[in-house]
Amino acid sequence: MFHTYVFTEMPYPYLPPADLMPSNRISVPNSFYDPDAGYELYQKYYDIYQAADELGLDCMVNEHHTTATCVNAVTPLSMAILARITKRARILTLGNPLAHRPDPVRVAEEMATVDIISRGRADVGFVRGVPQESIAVNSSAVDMKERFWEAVDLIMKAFTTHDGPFNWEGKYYHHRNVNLWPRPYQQPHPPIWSPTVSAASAPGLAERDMTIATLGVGKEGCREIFALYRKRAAELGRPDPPLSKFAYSMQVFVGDTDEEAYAEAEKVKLWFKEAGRAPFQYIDVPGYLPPEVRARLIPYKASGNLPSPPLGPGAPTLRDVVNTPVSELTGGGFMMAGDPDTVFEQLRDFFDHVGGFGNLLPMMQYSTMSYDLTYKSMERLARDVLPRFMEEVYLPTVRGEREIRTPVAA
Amino acid sequence: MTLEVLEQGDGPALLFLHGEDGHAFTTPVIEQLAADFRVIAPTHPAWEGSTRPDHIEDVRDIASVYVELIEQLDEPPIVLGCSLGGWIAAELAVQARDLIAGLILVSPVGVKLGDRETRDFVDLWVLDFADLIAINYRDASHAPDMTALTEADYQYLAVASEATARYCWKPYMHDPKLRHRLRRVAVPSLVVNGGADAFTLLSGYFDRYGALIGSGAARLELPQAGRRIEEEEPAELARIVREFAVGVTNESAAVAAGKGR
Repeated sequence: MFHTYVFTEMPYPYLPPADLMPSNRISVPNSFYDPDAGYELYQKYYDIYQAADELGLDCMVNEHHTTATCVNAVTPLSMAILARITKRARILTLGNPLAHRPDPVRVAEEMATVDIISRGRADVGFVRGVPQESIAVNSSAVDMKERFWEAVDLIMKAFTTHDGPFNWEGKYYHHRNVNLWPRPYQQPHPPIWSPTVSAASAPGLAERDMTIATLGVGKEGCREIFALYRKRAAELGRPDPPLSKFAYSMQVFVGDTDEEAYAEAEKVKLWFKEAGRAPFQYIDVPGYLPPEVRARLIPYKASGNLPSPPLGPGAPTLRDVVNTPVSELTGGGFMMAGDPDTVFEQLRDFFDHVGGFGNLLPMMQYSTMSYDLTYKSMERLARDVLPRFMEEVYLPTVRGEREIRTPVAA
Repeated sequence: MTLEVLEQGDGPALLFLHGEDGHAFTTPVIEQLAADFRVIAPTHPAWEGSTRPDHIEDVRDIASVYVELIEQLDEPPIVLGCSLGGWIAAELAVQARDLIAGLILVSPVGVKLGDRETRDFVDLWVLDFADLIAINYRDASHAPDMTALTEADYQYLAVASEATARYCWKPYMHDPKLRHRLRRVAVPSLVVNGGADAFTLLSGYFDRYGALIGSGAARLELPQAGRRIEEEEPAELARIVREFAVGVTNESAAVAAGKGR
């Protein structure tokens, strides 16, 4: 089954101008946040998710902290709401920033609770989080990968232990009595996801048999990352991972015409700039990137000529993307936009280029985009794109009646 | 573990404990000090040159490494630490009170004296590059030209930056317990700071720090100096250390004479 997890970052779009406030993260005072406007926004966002559910789509939430462009700081809460207001959609978080959460057992409790309330519709993502979060939640990036993996181990043991309490005295986490109530609905545990934009991380996710999600790296970057995942699974002697283990996220707008969709996609590019508006040092937190990468940045910082970060392996930088015409961005797999036929072709080409994937995570709402416009785009996707994609591409591929060219790892 | 230890000069032993940037910019001050002392300058665990075993997690652990180092010396050294190195030196003076001859802290961190909502220090990790220079040097023109270092230097500094975050992230630049243990220091002590230090925010910080050490450390403020005295005023710092060492020697002689009576 191909899944399409609609998401919005739940932005607070009424942002101060850049000359007044150079950052939309960390330092922007919440006096710029109007609680009444915030109330209306949350109504809109949950209405969008509810509509996605009714259209046969699935739901994805993500979290950032002290970030105006993503006012969803606690995804277990939004998952819990979705568990009650949706009927059939799967509910994915990408996800829980484990290295920044002091107690992994609490995360396990939250996820198990959502899984029960939704009767087994939770998809549990574990994320490293963007570097800015280290400042927002005062959690050092040094050794965060080690903390992350110990937290994953602890949560997985909590999910799958049913014969009473167990003890955990690890390097980072200590529990004398782990005994999860409730335990998850899905057995042995909900699907576990993790996102990466780094080719180096892909093999590790394959080793853990986690669903790999990659974000906005374009079709070349995505192809490389998925190929490395598949290669590692093969090295471990496993069968070819099912397409459900692969996910890709990008901005998607389906319009009545290509012209309308491209015009909307142009606005997405402007939103990229808003979402990326933060001082460089917020993303240069010690320990987040390897020292050899940070070393190369020092002379740029010292000269005040700061580089724009690449969006993934072999991918262009954010600055390049913002300056690239939408037609090229859709061709490169950085966004999908067009009328239903055009988007179908973009989806089919992307699918083939990356060796197939089973989960599309379209960001369908951003900035001030209204409920009505978002609904129209989702409806077009659900009714005019996905059924055709299933019939002509996905299902024949899964049944072995259609060939895709599986790329070879670099 | 691998502990890189630079030794230079002859004379009384002086343990030099570097600050956040490791030994990237310490060559001039070590040369000045080596004119009068046998300078022993280790590289802290996690800075390039020294490894960090898993169990070395905080400043107390670093200090415990240096307890072992000074146990192997022929004589108790004067311990001189700059900034983070000052914190390590203070901790070492608590742990090894009988193994050192004197203690000099230069622009030290390590104790928290402000209330919970008052920063003692600027938050290093939200500053842009120009501001980082501004808080570390009285005069930005005294700072190294960071656009013109070698690749190896950049790598060294990036490793140093991560190592600093490892030990100083939370609690930020201090150990809440150290201030209560500093009274155990039993040797002549001196706290030196620059009057133009823009990193330390809390008024009277160094006076209060000094007062916590043993029966009270001597104090010296260089009105014209910034935070990185060892980089901007290496000759002046070497002079101060020399003078301090004379005092330590005289005091030791007096104590020895007293014991002899």
